[in-house]
Amino acid sequence: MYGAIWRVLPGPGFLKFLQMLLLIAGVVALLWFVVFPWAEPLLPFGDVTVDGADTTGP
Amino acid sequence: MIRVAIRSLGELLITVGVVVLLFAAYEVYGKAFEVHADQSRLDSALDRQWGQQAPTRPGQKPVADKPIPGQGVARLYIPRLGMQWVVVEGVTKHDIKLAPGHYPDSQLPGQVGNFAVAGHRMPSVFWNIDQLHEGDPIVVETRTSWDVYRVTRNHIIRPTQVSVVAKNPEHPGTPATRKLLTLTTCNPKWDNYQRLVIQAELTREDPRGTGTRPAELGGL
Repeated sequence: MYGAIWRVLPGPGFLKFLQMLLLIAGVVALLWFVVFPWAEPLLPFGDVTVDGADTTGP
Repeated sequence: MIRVAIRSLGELLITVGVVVLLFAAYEVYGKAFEVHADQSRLDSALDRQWGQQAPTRPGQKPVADKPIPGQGVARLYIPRLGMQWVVVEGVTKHDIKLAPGHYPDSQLPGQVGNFAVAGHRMPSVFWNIDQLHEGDPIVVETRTSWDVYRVTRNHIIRPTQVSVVAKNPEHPGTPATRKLLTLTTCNPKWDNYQRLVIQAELTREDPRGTGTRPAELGGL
């Protein structure tokens, strides 16, 4: 998987390396600012109130 | 062919592991950043709000407004943990996303009854409140007063035991006589099948705005 990406990237080795870093930074930013804030409320860490009825609540 | 499949599977599993680690880092550092940003916004909003509510004529009694959902109600200080927050009104998912929230049906600080607050068990909110011992001060700053509470009980309950946030937690339904404060958060850390509850009782009330802060605050 990563080997295939490495082969597809153009240019000599150090350019490939720079592009790889950019790709990684992009994926991390996407996860950190979009995916994680969306996924976080779906997990059970947030249930902090005492409220028998509202099981989906905070 | 099999070699390629196995290698791809290995890469995939490593990737999943790295993403999960990154998520853990987000839960601690990303959230802390968001909480701090939101707290400084709430902090200045609360100052403005309290400034506006000041009595216009000397001797005029300030009106006890009902707090507006999502807006700041009071400041909460826990000197032992070196933590402080602006508490917002409401305990919906949205209200308490980045700040502790006041149960709207519970009383306000300093009133007879129970000032009940819920907060997330994350490092920037109620992470370490299990370390509070009997007698530790919890200070609440309202527009007019500093309310010094002392912890009376630190216990773990089931999520359905709603009586802990009742006006009179010992005997729900009967009239309250004491001035209590209750903090609830989830227990254990990163799970939700129990609730950790801190109960405290008001020991002293100082006027606010005289320039002096309660000694219990320490360096906060």
